[in-house]
Amino acid sequence: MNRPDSGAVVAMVGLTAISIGATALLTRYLRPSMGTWLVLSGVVAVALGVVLATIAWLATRRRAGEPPLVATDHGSSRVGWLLLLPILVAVIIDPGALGSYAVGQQAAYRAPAISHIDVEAMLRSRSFGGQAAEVSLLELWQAVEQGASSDSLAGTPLSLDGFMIHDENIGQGFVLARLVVGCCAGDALPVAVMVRGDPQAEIPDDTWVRVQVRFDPEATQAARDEPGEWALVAAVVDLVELEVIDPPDEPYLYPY
Amino acid sequence: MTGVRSDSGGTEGDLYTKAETTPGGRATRSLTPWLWAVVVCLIILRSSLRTALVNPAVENWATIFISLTFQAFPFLVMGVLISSCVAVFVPPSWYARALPRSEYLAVPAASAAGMVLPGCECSSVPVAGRLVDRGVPAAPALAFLLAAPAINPVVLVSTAVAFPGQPEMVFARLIASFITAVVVGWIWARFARPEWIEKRLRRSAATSKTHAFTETAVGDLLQAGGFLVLGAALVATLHTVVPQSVIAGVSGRGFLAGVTLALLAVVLSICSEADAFVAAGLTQFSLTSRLVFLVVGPMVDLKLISLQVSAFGRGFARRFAPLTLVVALIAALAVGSVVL
Repeated sequence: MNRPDSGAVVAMVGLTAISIGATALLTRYLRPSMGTWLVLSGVVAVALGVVLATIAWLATRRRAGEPPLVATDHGSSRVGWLLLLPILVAVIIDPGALGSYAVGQQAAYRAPAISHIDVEAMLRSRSFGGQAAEVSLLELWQAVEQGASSDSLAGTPLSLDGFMIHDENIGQGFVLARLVVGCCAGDALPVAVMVRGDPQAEIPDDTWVRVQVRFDPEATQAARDEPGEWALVAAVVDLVELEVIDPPDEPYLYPY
Repeated sequence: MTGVRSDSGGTEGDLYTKAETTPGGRATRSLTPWLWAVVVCLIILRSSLRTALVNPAVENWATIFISLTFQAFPFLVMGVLISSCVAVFVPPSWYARALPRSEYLAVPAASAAGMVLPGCECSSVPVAGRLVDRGVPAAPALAFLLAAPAINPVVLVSTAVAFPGQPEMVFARLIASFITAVVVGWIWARFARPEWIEKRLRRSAATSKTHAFTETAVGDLLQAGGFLVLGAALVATLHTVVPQSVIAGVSGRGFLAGVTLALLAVVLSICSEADAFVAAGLTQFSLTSRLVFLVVGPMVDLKLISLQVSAFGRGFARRFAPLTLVVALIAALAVGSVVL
């Protein structure tokens, strides 16, 4: 690669970094807090590329009459061209956030329950006048893992968001899942609950839904004691109501 | 404006040394106009290409590939800014003064220095590459390369968060990683031959420091970035093709569990700032085997091996990666059996 090419490639990667870091694309790929760093590094890369190209151009001008610079210098090895690959993939494939495919690949794991939560206080503050308490799948999983407060969990209707995964092994019902990301989508781990009940509509996999459910402590315990196909479901719940929603701005959950 | 090493009598503007031209001195034409033409074509053809290519597996691959690349990118940029400072502004004599004269003492000193670089493996590879290029002995530079991503403050804090109420995990990770870096450094100092390291980084012969800095930074970014892309593509492919239930059948305790998680760490190539979270999720495995995961991951993984090839060549990575893997495995199992 000669210098103009090197500068152009680095600047293009920098522009891509900025366009991911500064837009809604960011949350498909990375933890939101990485955005600032991605934009900053993109600006640095663009600056480096532009300065190098300018230097090359000035040097060419100074040596007017001599053979053109591009014919004599050999800046970097050709491996640098590979940096165009992520740009092409981002432009052509433009992939969405990870979904049911990734959950299927990772079904042997589940996201860890890390931060202790006060389940009673959480449910009280989110459930107004008998309304369903909005709880994330990760919070539900943490509440179940803490064990102690099953009674209050079972006593309150819950509202959960996630994407749908069908599985013929689960008779009447489906799996509701989300992916939990520590740093980037490359380290995503699934958290899932088994929802029993008939959605009463043909809803394809990966459709985002909001369900109102009731937690079933006995079935959850039984599923943990005797893991089946979905060995790592966090909980078993009964469907009360289901509505299809738009994919959220932040498709992933974050453990901390 | 001296201080930049210049091996050839390069004229101003002839920014690269002679040894760095392609074999035979073949002329390379600028491809930039073609580049833009291709980009415009692709954008026009995008939607039809997309329908032809995209299915859930491809999309899964693409998301992970882009994530891995751009997650590493800020760290890579930070790394090449530091490496270019190393190459251009810090005189080689400084390292001779900063490091103990004996290579065996320099190794632990360099490992301890790794604690202050708050980056992941993607920053430390270009830095170590430039240190070797500037005449720092290989063993301490490599000890720094291993220690920096494993035991810096950010990584230790994220480990503490992922293992609440288990501060011994943070301690064990720190100790086992430090031991691994030092032992690998010592083994390298004692047994390695200089020709195992191929100096692949190009030196700028620019006369001005600004030129030299820019050239070095862009050159290192392209060199390391290209190999990073290769590593990310490979890791994304494994994520997409191999279902991870293959490890579900392995027993969670004992030596075999440790080996399994060591290999898992190599394959998954998770950034050292996020691997503690994944280790916390591997609840079916014992704490000691999860410690192996945390010690091996930042030191040997596919993405990192690819980056090591970019800085030191294939012959280096072929010897260094297995050596590090074995030492890290033993150190983690030993520390785990005592501390955890």
